[in-house]
Amino acid sequence: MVVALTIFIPLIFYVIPPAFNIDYAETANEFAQSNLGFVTLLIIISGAVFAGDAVSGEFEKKTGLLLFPTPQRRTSIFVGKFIAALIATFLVVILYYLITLLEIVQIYGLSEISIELLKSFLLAMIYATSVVAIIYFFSSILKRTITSALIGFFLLMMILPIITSVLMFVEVDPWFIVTHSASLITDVLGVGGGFQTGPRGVDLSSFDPDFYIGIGVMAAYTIFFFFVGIIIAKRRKME
Amino acid sequence: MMETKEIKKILITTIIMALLLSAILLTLPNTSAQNGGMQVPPSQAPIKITELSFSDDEPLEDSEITIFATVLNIGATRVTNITLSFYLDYDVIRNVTEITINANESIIVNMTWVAEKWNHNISVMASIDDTPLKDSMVGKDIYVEAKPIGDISSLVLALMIIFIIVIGTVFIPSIWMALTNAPKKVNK
Amino acid sequence: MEYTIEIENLVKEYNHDIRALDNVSLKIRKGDVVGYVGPNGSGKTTTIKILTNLFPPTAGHVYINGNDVNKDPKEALCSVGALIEVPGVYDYLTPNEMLTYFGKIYGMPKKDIAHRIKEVLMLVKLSSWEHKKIGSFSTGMQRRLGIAKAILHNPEILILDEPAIGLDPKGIKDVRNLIKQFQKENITVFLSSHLLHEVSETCDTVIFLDKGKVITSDSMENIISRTELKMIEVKFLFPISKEHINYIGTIEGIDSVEKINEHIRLHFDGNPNTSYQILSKLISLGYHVVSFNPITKDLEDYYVSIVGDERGVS
Repeated sequence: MVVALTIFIPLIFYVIPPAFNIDYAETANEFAQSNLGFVTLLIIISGAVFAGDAVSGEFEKKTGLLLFPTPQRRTSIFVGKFIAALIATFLVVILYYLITLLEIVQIYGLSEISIELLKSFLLAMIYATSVVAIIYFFSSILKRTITSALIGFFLLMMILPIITSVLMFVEVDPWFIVTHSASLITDVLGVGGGFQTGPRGVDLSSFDPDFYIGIGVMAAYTIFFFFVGIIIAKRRKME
Repeated sequence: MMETKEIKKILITTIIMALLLSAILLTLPNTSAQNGGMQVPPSQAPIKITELSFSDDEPLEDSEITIFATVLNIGATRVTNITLSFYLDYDVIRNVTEITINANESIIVNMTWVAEKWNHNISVMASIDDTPLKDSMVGKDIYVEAKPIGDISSLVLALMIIFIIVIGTVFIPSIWMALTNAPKKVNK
Repeated sequence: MEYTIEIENLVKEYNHDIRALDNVSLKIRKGDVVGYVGPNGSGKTTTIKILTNLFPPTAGHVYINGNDVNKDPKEALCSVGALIEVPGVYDYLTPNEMLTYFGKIYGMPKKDIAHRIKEVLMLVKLSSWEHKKIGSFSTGMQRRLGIAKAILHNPEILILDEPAIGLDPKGIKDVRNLIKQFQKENITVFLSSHLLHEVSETCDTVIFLDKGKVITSDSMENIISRTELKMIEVKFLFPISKEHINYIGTIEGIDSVEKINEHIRLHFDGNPNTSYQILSKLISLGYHVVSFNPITKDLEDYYVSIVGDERGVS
């Protein structure tokens, strides 16, 4: 299902304009910006699917009774599961960017591929690590796989973005919210648009995430939630 | 019935008052007249902004560009006390005041602007004594390209740090065991 | 004397008030097949879970080949194969995929894994299911696959918690034969089971556990001798008269005789020699002895006497 979405979403941006006699965006970066607007959604869905059962699945399905009495440290087992979820999510991101790249080459030509696209890709990868780490953390503390997947999904899709909006409304810079940093994925393409002014005339562009702070926030979320997830998973007992 | 004498009195009084009023109006201060300029209402001053241009039509964010406005006096007399207002997205950013232009001459007024990213409208309007001059507003759109954000090396470094920490976690228990020397039971 | 498994003063408490294990100590030699028997809730599975590092003890130590299981699980468990409770399965994998995965986890050389997978699947009679998804397996088949996984890496020690659960009589017999085979290969087997008949058929030593304490631990031989009731049941080819019964009662070594339906029950001193003499005498006197069986309490009776009637056993 995740792979199907990864292929289907970027194809929409390629197929719909000519079907309705609409021109493509003027520049490749503008095209990429609209296309890549959905990559964060895909990262969150992949994270929920792959990391959601990384820890809780072994306890819920009791496959831990097969896996844990082996000459492998629990740390190794759980780090391995984290890396597996990460690789799966990375593959989704790579596929998405590959399809977007092919579309850009087809529409605008090879020379229109900018370095900003590579920056966007690397940012998407870093964001993917933080998403996987957060959902992995929920998988380690919750009993059921479905609960950890859903809570992770709704936290990243709804709760954190709502908190971000509220903070911006009261003119507080939400620099510490990871989903706010994720907007760097499209910001880095250098294309304007969207709402620059919020309610009460607040200048929203003053809340654009800083590049280096954004990377730092995403990396910090990754490291923090990964470590806490591993510690909790290690201590969890098959009783 | 009024007598003819009285009617004549009223008429003469009215005429005298009209003449007096005209005389008063004519003697009101008239700077144009005093400076030798034209003596029409400001809103009808013969001033046109003929051109609005930029030193760079595709600037990069945070670069300094110069905005040029060419103002022409199409009238027969000198026009003084002109104020030229520059607007960015309809908010005033600069007023250039006390501009004087001789008849049939033009001047170029400029200002520098630190370009802000993305689409903007720059417009210029002339006014005299806070009264906008007729047909004197000219505007032009400009697209400012955003500065490239960030660098690849920081991103690669961040990813490497994350991977090193994740994979290094596997080796922490081994290192800990080696440092603490886990006891092994010796069978007698 | 080298002990493969040593449990020292093992204590396990839950919520500070439930003491699942109360100073359990035992030692198992290499090559022994040990039955671990007790009623529900006696602490058998808790012991096995601590032995396999599924959770740590509250107090005490567990050593496998001299390695503390809790502190050095990698060393301790490298020669252990375990099947605990009813584990879940990776239903989206095939046996081949699952066993390949565990082969790598056990650190088996790659070139040996494929060959060994075929061997173990043949042993547990799942060869024809090698490439079918485990999700389609019955409970018994999943159990057998669990056994296959436990023996995949040729472990020195097998820890089996109720290995025959969910198996049909043929499956139970197959497991019994497997354990006997492991015995011949000098593999140490630590086996927890409710099926006392299986324990008595396969184990050298039986440990009885109740309320978290070891009640008794003894070899099967000694248990059998203790359960022998100094009685012999004899059946003859033809019905025997009262006079003959009285005459048989005078044979040396026989304390008393009673008639039970179609056979007689002889009471003696329990000595095997005496038993032999009685049999020889009966035959020499011309009696047509069809069966001559010393009567023992079975292990179930012994178990019930140890742990008490009210507990019962399945």
